[in-house]
Amino acid sequence: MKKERIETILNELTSTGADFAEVFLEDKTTKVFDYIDRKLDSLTISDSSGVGLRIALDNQVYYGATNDFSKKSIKEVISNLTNNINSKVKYENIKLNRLKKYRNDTNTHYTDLDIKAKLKEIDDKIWNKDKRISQVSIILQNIEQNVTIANHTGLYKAENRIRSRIFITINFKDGEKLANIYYSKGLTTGADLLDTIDFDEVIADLIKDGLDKLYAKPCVGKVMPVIIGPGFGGVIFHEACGHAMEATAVADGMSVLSYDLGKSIASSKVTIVDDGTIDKEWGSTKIDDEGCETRKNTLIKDGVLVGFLIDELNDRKMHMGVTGSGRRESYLYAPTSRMNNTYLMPGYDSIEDMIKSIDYGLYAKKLGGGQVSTETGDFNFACDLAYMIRDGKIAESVKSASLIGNTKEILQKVEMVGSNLELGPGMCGSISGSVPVNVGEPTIKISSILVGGEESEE
Amino acid sequence: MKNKLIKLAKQEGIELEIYETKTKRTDINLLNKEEKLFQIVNTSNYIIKAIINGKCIKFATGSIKNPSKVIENIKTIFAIQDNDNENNLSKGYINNKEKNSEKLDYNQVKRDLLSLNSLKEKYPEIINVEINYSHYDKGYFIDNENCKMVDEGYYNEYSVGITASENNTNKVSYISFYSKKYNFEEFYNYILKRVESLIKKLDGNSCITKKYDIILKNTAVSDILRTFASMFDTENIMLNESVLVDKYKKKVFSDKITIIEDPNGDSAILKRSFDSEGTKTNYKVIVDSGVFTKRINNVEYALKSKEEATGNAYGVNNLFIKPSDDTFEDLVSKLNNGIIIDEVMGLHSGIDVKSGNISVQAEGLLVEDGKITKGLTMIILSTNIFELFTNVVSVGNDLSKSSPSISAPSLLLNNITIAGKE
Repeated sequence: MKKERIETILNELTSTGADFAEVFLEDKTTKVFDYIDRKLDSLTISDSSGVGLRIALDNQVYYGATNDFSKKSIKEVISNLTNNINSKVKYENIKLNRLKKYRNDTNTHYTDLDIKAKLKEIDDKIWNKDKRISQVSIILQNIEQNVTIANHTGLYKAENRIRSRIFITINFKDGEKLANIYYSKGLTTGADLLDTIDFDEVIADLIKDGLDKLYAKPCVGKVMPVIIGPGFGGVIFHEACGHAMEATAVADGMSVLSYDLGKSIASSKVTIVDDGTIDKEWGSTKIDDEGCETRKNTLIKDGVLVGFLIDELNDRKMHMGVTGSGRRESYLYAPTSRMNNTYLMPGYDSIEDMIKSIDYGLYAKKLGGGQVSTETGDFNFACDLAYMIRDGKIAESVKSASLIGNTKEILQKVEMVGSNLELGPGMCGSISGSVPVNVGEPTIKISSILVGGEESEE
Repeated sequence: MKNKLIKLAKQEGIELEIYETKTKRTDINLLNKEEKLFQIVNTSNYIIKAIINGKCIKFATGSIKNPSKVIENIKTIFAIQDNDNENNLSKGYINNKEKNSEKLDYNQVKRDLLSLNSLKEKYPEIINVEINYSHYDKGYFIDNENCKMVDEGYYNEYSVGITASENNTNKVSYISFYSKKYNFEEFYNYILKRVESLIKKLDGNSCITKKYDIILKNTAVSDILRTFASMFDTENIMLNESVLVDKYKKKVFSDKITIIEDPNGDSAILKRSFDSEGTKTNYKVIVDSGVFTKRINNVEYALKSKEEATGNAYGVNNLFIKPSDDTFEDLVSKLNNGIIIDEVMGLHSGIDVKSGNISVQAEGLLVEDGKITKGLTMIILSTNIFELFTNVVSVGNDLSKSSPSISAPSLLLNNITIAGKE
């Protein structure tokens, strides 16, 4: 869309007195290679493009989206939005700045056929490893998203974002026993993501973990100390406190942490940051979806709550300044404050000491997803792979373990923090849709948490 | 644009069919007495079916504005995909438009939604009411050279998060409700029942980990069934991706469990007369008195399994567990001593659809001597899909309305592990 047309739209959007107006343009191509059942079962190439229009007056927000760029369609959206506002006009004759472009450099040498050959090579290696493998699925996603953001202040910026992510899932079957295990890595880059992975090592780990899971015993449900492995284990902080530090919940007093700024809310071993600037990481962008450059935001420092993640319109209530955290899945969603790459900073405790310190507890080697209520702080996570700890040693694998707790309680119970920080990719769903994020942590020990399991007693 | 694309494809020797899903959605979001967001979204998404020399590919895309690019994408996919799938273009003419006689006044809708703030007067423990309302107009269209199919309909979605507080303890209840026609009164009455339970949970606590007799409330059963709905797909069964591998035509659940899909029946919130491949939908009994009697198929897997296509290329619509005669109150008196689970959370992570294991956070109410005595929080429902649908004592008559496509009655179950902190 040409600059002059965007200016015209912004002027029409503010014509009834809106004190904020924004145009978000998106053009996206998604390629998905789905290798399953020993063949490239499908390749999907999906194009989408659309426009999202947002206006506000004070704290009331009106949003419209369409993928029909015709004048008639956009005029209808503008009219549906502006009809809600009748105020003194503050902005007239809006002119945009010179377009500022941001790129994420990639160095992809893979053709589609190269990718297919690489996926076949990985698939063959896996099937040859064990007779109990009942299915292998390898999915490679490659997404190119171009966004352009303009608003009533003259802001006019664009970013080209290329992301790739691979998923490997292996199913195992032995008689009536079923289990599956997965691996995932995502980066803000092209298919050269494949060059960053040692697949022999990944496959060996998956086979070992998958077989441990296949023969896992039911987990005992009770309160116990838990060690959580590095990387995706950081989802516990993403869910337990990350969402509660987003302005979406904080600004309206709807977060369990709304009134705790400056207070000690966690063990002194806890420092948590959200950093959208890390080169090539899955949750990184140069600018957020409101056109603000991303940054490294410290949220908890040595146990003290020191910051929130704030988008432009929620800052009208919070007056603390935006943090480059306004994100959305696509033009279909109004943006709001969201995380990028959120992780617990590494500490100095050794993993051996953590395990030795527990007589009876759980080692959650891999966590699955989770969920939190930001208002109450209650959260839950599934353990994808877990082992019992007995007498200071890792013992048998257990299935169906889940962790249930509360934000304020768990943050105070972080007793030991290792030095092996890793990040893990995921998709985070919230009111502005599903956005790519990294979670991360080193290995940690939680002094006690409720573990859910099928067994009632030993 | 569709005709242009179909014509261009024909010139290139490609038989082409377009399935379009058109959505017009109007959202209203309120927090207490403040209107936070008014939103209108108009979109179209497409599934392209392309056939060259009898072989077929299908893919989803958000745009067909550039027909040459779509053709280029089709050729790329044919060149690389290991494709031996057979398929046909749809045939026939369907014009199924549900007439919406309602003329919604969104200002009246806002006033109705704002009236939910009166709950705070009735229940002083309530501190926040967050309300989301959406009206959907949906259209489904299939176009190829010899076919035109149209399904159009509409429905309303209401969801509310109610926060209650007492002695510095906050509890939230999230309630979803769907109706064909705008029916605020029914929604309001539906909420009232849930609020009573929320208030009881304010001074609730956890329980001892052991096996209990439980009532799983209709909304929780529906949520779990929704998570497992893909287990009936022939595709997932043939690819060893379903818990029902090797279970076809076998007894898998209690004989009290019958699962039906009726996509075009009167009870459907949104009637669907054809699926995304143009196969006509029909009434089918998927699980009959505990026996897995009917797999569901798209055309590709119908051919591979030598069965009929069942009109489920898009998944399921109006899938439900057949209700029985007991009211919810009957189930409570039959339970006598046990737990009512009325909220389950984190199903996307706590349920493993491939192994069938279920370990999810839950909340509920303790029942002693047939009476609800206190609220329960911080508890975990630990079971698996087979145990859950086998340990059935009684099936309720109260079909849920918390999903537009899947519903279930409450179930009385015996011997289910609930983990707790006590």
